[in-house]
Amino acid sequence: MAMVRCAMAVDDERTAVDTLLTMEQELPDDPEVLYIATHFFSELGMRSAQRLHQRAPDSYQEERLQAETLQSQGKNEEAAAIYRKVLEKNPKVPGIHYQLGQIDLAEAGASGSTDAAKQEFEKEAEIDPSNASAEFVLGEFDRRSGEFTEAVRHFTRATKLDTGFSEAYLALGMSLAASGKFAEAKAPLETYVKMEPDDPAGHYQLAVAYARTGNKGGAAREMALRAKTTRARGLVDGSQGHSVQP
Amino acid sequence: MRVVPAWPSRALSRRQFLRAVGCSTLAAGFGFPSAHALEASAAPPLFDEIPSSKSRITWTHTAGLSPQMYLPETVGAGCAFFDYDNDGWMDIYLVNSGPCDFYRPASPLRNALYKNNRDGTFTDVTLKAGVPGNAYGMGATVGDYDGDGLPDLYLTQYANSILYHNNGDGTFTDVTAKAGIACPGWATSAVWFDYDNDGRLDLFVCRFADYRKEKNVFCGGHGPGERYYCKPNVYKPMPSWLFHNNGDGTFTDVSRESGIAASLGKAWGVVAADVNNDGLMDLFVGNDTAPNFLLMNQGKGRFMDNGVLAGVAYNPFGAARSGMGVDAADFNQDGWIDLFVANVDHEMYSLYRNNKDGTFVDEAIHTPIGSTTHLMSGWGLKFFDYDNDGDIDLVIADGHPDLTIQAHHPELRYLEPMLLFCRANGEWENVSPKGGRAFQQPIAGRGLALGDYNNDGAVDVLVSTNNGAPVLLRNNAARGNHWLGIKLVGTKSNVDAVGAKVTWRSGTFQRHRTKVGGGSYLSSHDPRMVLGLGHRTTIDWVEVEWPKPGGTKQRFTGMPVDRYITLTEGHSGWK
Repeated sequence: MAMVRCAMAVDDERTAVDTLLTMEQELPDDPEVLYIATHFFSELGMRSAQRLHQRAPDSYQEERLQAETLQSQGKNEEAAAIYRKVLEKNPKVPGIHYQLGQIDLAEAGASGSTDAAKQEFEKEAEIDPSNASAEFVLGEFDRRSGEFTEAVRHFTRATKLDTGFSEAYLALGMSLAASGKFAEAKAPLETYVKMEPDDPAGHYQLAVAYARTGNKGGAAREMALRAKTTRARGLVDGSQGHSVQP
Repeated sequence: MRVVPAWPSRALSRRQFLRAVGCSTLAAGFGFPSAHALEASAAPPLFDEIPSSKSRITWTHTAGLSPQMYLPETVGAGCAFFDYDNDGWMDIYLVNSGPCDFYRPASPLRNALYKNNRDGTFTDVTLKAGVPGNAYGMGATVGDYDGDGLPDLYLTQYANSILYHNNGDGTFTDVTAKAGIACPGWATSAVWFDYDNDGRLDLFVCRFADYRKEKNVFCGGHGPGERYYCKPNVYKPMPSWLFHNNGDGTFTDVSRESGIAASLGKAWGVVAADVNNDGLMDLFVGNDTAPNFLLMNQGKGRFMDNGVLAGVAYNPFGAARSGMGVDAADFNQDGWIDLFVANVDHEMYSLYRNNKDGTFVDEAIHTPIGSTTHLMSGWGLKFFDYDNDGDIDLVIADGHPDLTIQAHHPELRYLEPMLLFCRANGEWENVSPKGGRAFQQPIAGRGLALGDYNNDGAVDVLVSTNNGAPVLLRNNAARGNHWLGIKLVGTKSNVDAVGAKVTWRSGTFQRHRTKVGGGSYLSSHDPRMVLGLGHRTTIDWVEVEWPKPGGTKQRFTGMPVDRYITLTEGHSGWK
């Protein structure tokens, strides 16, 4: 710890980082280590932000950081204005339309239109075809509108772009199942339950897919896991209050 | 002025954001039109609300709302159209709350039986008839359990229910003790149906949660205005009841041996229908914060819950929703019964199309029903042909279960307008804006009963509201279309012909309907069926497939139109 403090005091950030990473590796579960690391990495982040502000005050990266700060503070309108300013000068910068989409969704709230948000995510997908999250969100728009063919297309792409994107496998499986394609739904759902074994939703969907494809044993096993994971989450086999659970 | 950036804490990690994307808040904003936002049409309304000054129905429901927020307070109650005196005119029954362990009314409360005066007005005959209720009333279920031609009344209550036998002279007798169907506990919806095909009406009674005053849970904060009505997930599920009609005025509780008691739920609504066309009546039960049941009749007095594998138990994520009112009908006319259940806010109501293989698919998302109901909470509901064009439509009474909901969720409302969906050319359309005042004015809608109270062939709607006056809607929509009203009387089959399938034809136009048992929420309906003909002025034939044990098919020709007739099993011709 002392080494880290000293290194930070003399602006030897490399030593500070190396020391923190070594400590985390050697004491991965130590709460004091993790606490210290959180503070010092935050401090390092703060310093980088200040350097960006000082050394490249007119860069879009500086503006983007400003917008992200405002967005994290809930000042969505101000953040959106800066994002749009960034796009005026740099229309092809990846990630900006995605952030605007997030803001539009937040502003839409419980009952507003999400057309604007959808457009932002579509633009993001055009600019950055490797953005798996944007593909996922577009897939969700389609899935919740019952446009399962399009949803499958987006979710399939999301899983290919990011093979560790667990939610995309679940959403893909659900969309295939909703289309009646239970045989095709099995593979992504099996992938999902391996990645997220504690989520009852995956076990339920897989149980239905097994049942509809004649695998009664598999269906029974997955339904038992659904019940077990539901209890483990304290859901008492019921929805938690009025809102649907994800 | 430039904001000097602090190191921004990421408002949402990717996982958090994507979970939020999947949550109801986002889904509700997918350009879904709110029923509140739809503007009323300038054309004459499809339904006219009849004020109490005209109907003379002055009774109101008293919920006994209290600071302790006992759960039963916001869920009642039911209503019924039934012809208690067999004069051919539908009378009205309204259920009230009453004394129980958590409520002592300051002045006596009672239910209300209103006799139809045949001129648009009604007269309160409750005390004379002897059907006041005696506890915290829930629902009314009408059926001729003893086959004497007189409709009897089963009243579900918290925490004991009553069977009123119709004496045939305008009075009823409480025969609960003799019958053995008191159902101690929180009984909700019930249905008369013949599960063992012996020609007698048996009784299934829904039970809600394990609840007593001492078990009432405190939900919310302790500051002013922070308490709210609990969500039912804090209470334990309970088994419902099934009673076999012994044919001698008594019933046997067969809940256990039938397998019914093996399924624990928090049941609000039930409908009886043969969903797999095997000649045996099944049950679809809407459960709140517990999986819905699809109790498949196996024959020999046994039922098995197939809800999960049928796809009607849970939402797509495998979580139970808050199932409330239910109904069943073959809305797409493919010969297989489909199902419907209303849920609560952020859950969307479910329109389950029968896949003909023991499974169902929820089609609500593909229709305006899904988008319209996403933030709404539904209770009483019924499939029916409101405009007599021959196609099955849908009416729903709505309202949030929690009186305090807006304080905690500003996007939601306790009072909600009714909904009316029209089916035409294979598609559903939200026609609520044309419905009339009742479809614009938000209410705490609960029970919903269908009945043609003025015998004009246009089926009317009665809605009970929580802690308020009932709403009586006269149907204007069917004017100009032709119809035939039939009362079915079973002789070998159960006397109310529950389970009968009716087909009618006019030229190339052919439709069929099944007489399901029950349906809606805590409510009971005009037993007659109105067969819509649209612009057609003649009927080629009407065919009745009587339920088992009769099971025969009878075809009737030379039928009139635009009037009510009676068809009796085994008798040729009509009356």
